[in-house]
Amino acid sequence: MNVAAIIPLLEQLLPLGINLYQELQQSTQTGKTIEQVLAQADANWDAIAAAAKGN
Amino acid sequence: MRYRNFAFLSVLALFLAGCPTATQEKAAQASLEASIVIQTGQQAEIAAFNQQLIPVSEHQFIETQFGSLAVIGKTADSCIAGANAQAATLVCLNTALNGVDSIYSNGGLYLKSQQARSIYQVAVGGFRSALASIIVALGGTAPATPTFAGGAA
Repeated sequence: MNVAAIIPLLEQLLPLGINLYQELQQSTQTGKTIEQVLAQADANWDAIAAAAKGN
Repeated sequence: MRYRNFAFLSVLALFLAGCPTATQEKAAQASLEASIVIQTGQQAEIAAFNQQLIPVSEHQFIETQFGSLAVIGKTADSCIAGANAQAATLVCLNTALNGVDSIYSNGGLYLKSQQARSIYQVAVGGFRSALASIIVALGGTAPATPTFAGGAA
């Protein structure tokens, strides 16, 4: 395996992984009611639907 | 793409390890998690399309499927909000999972480009994993992951 060839790929993937991890961690923070969690999920689904229509 | 798949699934596993305990709350968190995974997958797909790595027809197909997943997600959210018992919550999750599985299989049959297939499989598979994991955690039985048929043209 060519390690040098993998490094640029890892450099690209690392920020993506960190961002996703942080978002998921924030979503699990305690103190949110079920209604708040579902409202946040609904807002995300709305954004996905809007992006799907726009693309 | 194997590394990207690994990165996504590793993060997913980390998240699932920290899920709260209440039934309805677990289901709500699963939906939120799924929406984040799909949103991330959608951004990756659009970026790949803009770099001309995905054909127009496959891009349009994927975005249509993401739109359908959003409908499934919102329907599940509404169902979970109204579920007052574990059995009812499981019905919400299983109904959503059936819809997601159908969309997952359709992608395998339609998509040909490797980039499109990889992004789709990780994103929709991530949605599926979020639902299936919670179903099992709540004592239900999740169906096996459907076949992602097809391949490069």
